[in-house]
Amino acid sequence: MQYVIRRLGHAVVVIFGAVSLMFVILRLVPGDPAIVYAGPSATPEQIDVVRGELGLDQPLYVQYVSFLGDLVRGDLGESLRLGGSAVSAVADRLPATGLLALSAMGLAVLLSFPLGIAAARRARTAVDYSISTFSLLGQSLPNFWLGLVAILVFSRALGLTPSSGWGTWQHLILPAIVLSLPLLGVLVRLVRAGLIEVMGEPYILTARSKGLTGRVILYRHAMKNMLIPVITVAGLQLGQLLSGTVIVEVVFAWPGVGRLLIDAISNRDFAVVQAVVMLAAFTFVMLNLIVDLLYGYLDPRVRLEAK
Amino acid sequence: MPAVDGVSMTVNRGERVAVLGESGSGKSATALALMGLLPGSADVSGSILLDGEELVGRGEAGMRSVRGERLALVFQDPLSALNPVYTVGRQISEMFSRRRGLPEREARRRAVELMERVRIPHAAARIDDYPHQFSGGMRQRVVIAMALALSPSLLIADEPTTALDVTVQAQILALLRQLSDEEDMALILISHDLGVVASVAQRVYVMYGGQIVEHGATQPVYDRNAHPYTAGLMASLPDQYSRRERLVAVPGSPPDPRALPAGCRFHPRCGWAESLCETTPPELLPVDDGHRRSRCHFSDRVLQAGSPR
Ligand SMILES: Nc1ncnc2c1ncn2[C@@H]1O[C@H](COP(=O)(O)OP(=O)(O)O)[C@@H](O)[C@H]1O
Ligand code: SF4
Ligand SMILES: [Mg+2]
Repeated sequence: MQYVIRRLGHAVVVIFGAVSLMFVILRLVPGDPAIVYAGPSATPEQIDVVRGELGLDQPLYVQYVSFLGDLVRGDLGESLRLGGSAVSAVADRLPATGLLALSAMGLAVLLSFPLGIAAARRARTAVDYSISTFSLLGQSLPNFWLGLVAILVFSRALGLTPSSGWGTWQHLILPAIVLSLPLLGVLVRLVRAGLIEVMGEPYILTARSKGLTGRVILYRHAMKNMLIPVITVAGLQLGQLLSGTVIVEVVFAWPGVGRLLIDAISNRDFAVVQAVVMLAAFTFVMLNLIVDLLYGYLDPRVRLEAK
Repeated sequence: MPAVDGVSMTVNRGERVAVLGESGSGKSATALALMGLLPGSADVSGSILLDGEELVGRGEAGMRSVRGERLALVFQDPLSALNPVYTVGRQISEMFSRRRGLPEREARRRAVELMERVRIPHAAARIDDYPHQFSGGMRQRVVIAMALALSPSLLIADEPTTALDVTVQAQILALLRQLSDEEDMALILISHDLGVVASVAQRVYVMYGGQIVEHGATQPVYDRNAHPYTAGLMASLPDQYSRRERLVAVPGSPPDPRALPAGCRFHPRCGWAESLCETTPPELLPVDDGHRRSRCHFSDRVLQAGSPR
């Protein structure tokens, strides 16, 4: 219980820090929301009026204090560009991003285990080398490049899938695969390395000396131990995947939070940027919490220390 | 690479024998090889006859059914030998549930029984604890319980007390002796410790460079060595196990199995070595009254001399 409270406190600090940092960065980089908001034909006087309405003429610390006051009341401000609250602007886009991110994660997790296990069991054979090369490529090729190549090959040349937009499950295929590849690559390598290491542990020898079958040894004795390091790194990699959604959404014109963020930044729509940053920080903290809980579940030695 | 070759041992039901040798002489490799647990690259041959029946050397599938069932192994370090993420109860009970197909509840009941049999206090309460929650001695009892589960006819214990506190060592040895009597189970005790061997085994196999170099009833072998290596081992022991005054232990270290010396594997360290020893490997031949064997060209002389050079 104490542990959970400590973790929640930690989460609040991280989110607060991320949002505050973003607040400062947004106001330091060039670009004035008042100019964008007032429109291209506005006179300098009109722009000044808008700036006053938005409170942007106040000193930075005054703006910050009032921002924090609103934040505590759960008010993240209005979207200058879209009208309506910034929170609802993000909420509208959340399902699309959720669908994309979860599909990509699911794909990566489902494929990485059979591939990693196959590579480990046939270590240093052609099977292993092909799988390892594939995962190294998946891990190192940038998302945007993969996205463009995928569109060129599968949509333009072969006409198998739509190249952009969303609405049907066919629209989901390419962006989900492209987004999943880096995570898939990392997971395959982790599973392979983890399994090879665990299979060399003395307790695996014990399991063999007990006359257990290879299947029981692999899926019972080795798997859970192998998951401990995999889960730790996978948690960090999920953060990578989330940031990847921004690029993939832009490349595939996927109407999610990532594209909303890019639009909001180019339009100096501060409230929306803040809301997205907050969501991202929150998601990241939650992922870390889940990873830690899983870690404790998998490793009894950690579980007992935490108590 | 023949890390272990031609190691043949015979045991009778309920009998206790020991494999003695300094560390690096290939004892663990022999135990693993006999159970078919060495990686395929290791080229091994060997045999264990239990009451005249061959227990080993029947291919992976055949050996799997033998493991645990006829032949069980207890490892040196019980902490690393136990899976850290499963309770000791599950690790014991899977012998019944996975190997015998018993229902989980029955398997668990039997696991508690086994824990009681190896004298783990409060077995029923401790069955759901994890290995790291036990002391070293208790962990070794868990490993022994696992090995005993299917009532094997032969238990191989590879340095079962080396990783334990001195006070606990005697208890574990006493337990092994007692269990082998109660279950009429043969025991092969592997050890580098002359005292441990003397306290447990009726017969001893002395091992060097992956081979048996001397074999016989424990007391006669300790009293009058027929092999210079055994003599050297005795020299390192200053107490009641040897009657004569001893001077030095064997200088040097056992050979690398990838670069075994030609001729007698012991010749670079042997005070008795002659040119014959550098070219011709000695065989393990009967000496003395014929109840003992030694792998030395000059066994008779060594036996006569009665003291190491
Ligand atoms: N099959 C093998 N391949 C490579 N090295 C081996 C093999 N078998 C044994 N060895 C090496 O031979 C030496 C003796 O092994 P070991 O059985 O552990 O000795 P002991 O148990 O008597 O201390 C060790 O250095 C070990 O690494
Ligand atoms: S054969 Fe030669 S080298 Fe080997 S133990 Fe005997 S005397 Fe020593
Ligand atoms: Mg050893």
